[in-house]
Amino acid sequence: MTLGEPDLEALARGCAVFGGGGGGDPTLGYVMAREAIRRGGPVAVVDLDDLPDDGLVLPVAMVGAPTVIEEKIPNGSEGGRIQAVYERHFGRPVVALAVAELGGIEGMLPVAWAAHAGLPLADCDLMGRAFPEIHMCTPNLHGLPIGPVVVADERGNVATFTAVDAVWAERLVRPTCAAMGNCASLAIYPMTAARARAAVVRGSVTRAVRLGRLLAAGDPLAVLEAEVGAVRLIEGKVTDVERWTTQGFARGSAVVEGFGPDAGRLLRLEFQNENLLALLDGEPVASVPDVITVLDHHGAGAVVSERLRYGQRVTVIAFPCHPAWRTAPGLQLVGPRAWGYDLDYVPVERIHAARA
Amino acid sequence: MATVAELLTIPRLAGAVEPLAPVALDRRVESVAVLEDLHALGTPPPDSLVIVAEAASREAVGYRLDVLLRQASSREVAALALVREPLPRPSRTAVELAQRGHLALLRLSPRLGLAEAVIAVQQELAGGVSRLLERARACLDLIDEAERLRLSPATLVERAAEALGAEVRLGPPPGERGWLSVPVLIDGEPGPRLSTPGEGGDADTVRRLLLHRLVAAIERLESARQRAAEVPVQTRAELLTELLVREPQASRDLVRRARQLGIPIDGWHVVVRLELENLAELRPGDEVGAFNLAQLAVRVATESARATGGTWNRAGTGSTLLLVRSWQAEVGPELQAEVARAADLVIGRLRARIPRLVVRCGVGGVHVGSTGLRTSAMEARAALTAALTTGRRNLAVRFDSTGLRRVLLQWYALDEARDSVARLLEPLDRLGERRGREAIRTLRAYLDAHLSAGRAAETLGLHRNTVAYRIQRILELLGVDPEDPEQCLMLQLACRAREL
Repeated sequence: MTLGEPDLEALARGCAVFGGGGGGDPTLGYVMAREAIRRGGPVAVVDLDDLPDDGLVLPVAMVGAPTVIEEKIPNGSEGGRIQAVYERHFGRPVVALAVAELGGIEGMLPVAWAAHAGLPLADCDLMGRAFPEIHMCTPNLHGLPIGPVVVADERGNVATFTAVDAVWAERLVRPTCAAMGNCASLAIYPMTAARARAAVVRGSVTRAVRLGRLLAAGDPLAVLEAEVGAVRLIEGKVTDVERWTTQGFARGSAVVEGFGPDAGRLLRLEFQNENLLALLDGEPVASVPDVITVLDHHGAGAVVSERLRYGQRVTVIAFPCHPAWRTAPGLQLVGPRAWGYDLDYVPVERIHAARA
Repeated sequence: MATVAELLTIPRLAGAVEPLAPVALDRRVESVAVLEDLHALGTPPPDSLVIVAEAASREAVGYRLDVLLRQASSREVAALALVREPLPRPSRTAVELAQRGHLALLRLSPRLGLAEAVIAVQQELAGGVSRLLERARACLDLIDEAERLRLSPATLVERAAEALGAEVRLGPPPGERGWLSVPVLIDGEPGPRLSTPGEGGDADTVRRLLLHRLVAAIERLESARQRAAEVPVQTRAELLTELLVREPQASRDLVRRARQLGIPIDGWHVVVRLELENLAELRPGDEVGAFNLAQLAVRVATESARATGGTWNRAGTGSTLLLVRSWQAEVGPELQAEVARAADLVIGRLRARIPRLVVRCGVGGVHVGSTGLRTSAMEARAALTAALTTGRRNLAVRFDSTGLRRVLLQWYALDEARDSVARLLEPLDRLGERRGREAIRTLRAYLDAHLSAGRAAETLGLHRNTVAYRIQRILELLGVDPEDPEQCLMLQLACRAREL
């Protein structure tokens, strides 16, 4: 498919839902992608099967605080500079860029960079949702090397890391990102199309666009149930939002007081950029790695966690994550206990069936 | 069995336990259990208080507390106590879950040992004598502290009731049956009674011992309070006594000190003189008893005078007691009658408190300033002498009723007398009503002060020169010589007759 200006809105809407509260507000990414497409033309979205086996695919993303990026805007050349480093390193051209994290602004910026570079966008991502740390990617489960990792900022600084593993890469990148102003662009897991085919979440971009289009057209809850198997956790009003910082991350919790069919119920939502755990009246009803998304009750757009405010009318939904995350290594990397929650993971659809 | 609210009053837990939300405090607790591991709630007995050990309590925040509360309420736990330093307010979800499960959420200070907390709760739940002994111990500590801090008896009784977890009353004997009651003696005189409901058995012995200990403390505290309250009154009383005894010339400094002490010396005064005639006979051969009785009489008289309202000060020594009623603003002579009524009331109270007491009482007239105070005191004394000679007891005798007023009235009723007065004061009457009245008032003060312009000025609250000038004008107008005793007497009679 070709991603033109009319498709961007659908992609933004889809990314916000898959973001599960994380990935940042897609608005800025939408504007940057639109400008890039107006200058460089539509971006081709290609399936990995259609790329040459040895073609170099480069997943790109923003790293840092989603709230910072709104004030410290990328200048658009970061993608080009990162691409140049890899092409020098591997001695061959990059054939496609890819979305590293399907959520919020993270799903939109690679479109802008692809338009700038005149490259296609591979129809895939590394998470099938959004996570806050760079080692929380499916290629990690397949033993693919994360590096070299290249980080660039809008001033022209470029840093390259050759780390021994993904966790070390995260450790090294995070302070550099802080030095660059808590927000930078990066590329991770450079890989050939052949290796990528088995190691990434495929079809993400087209799925997000399709979901975005359907959401705009029909009953959002019915669409989400049919498309991603979403279950409704609660419909209600945000009555309490608490945020605190621990171990360098902005954590928080929000309370949604049910109304309508959910009157009398209280949902507690725990988040760290992304929504990680939902407890209904003290009982866990959804947890990572499944995707928990807060939808605006009126517009059905997804509300990112940093935009949660007292008094918002919302519907909270949850849907199954990519199967790769439900394997033992997947759960070890991103299951509830990896986030410090003293709970065993139970797939959301199973919890829902038991409750029904 | 006890309610959560009752457990909060356990003396050994005082200040170390608090509800985190006003939820389910009426829930009844049957047993106590300790939870060491948040995942091991298991099935505690229904209606139990579950104390979450310190390490586990540290983990019981946010979603974990929600989960714990949900599990606890599904297992009919009555209350959860978290062992934590002061917590931020619990989350809305936690309070909501506690409310739904009708489960109390408490905080227990880590300074209190877990074992001690468990034993204290267990003892309270077990009830009986051991519970009472525990509470009695706390009550005794409290009494010691109350005596050290000199708390008021009312506060002591209130706290004792809290520590005992039972009603304790200080007042008239209880009407209900089965109450234990001990009288309180103040200055050796029976006062109110201290009472608490009894339950029979050995426990009542403990209660009676406690009541006696409490009563002893109350008596000491009350005596101390009275002594403390007496100190400023005593100082004022001594000063006033001296002021009334000393020569006027020597009393300037005393007047200044009286002002400093807040005695309204420059105002209008009426002095009531009380002689407690047979005080010594009421306690024959018992000097201490007689002294105590005199003290009691002084206190009762002062308190009951004050109870009638207005500003009262007392003076006097031994069996003579002077009560001074003062006003800041000018008052008329008619208020003497009001003071006499108050004096009758004081006599009534004294005799009610000290039966067989014989009181003689004289009430002076209304006079202004420090000289007026002395004049009123002299008048009170004269009235008292009249009371003695006419044999009137236990009744306030007004100075007016000594006879002068009556004689004056009879005299003034004669046409000749009225004509003489009118003729004598005619020049002043011509000045007009207001100025005429003022001139007569000035003249009377001057004559009363034995022709001293200075003291008259003091009485009138005017400058000496003003008075001297006015007197000069008045005497010129009247054309009389005040040095002539006959003319002076006639002038005095005329001035007084005009005020009738």
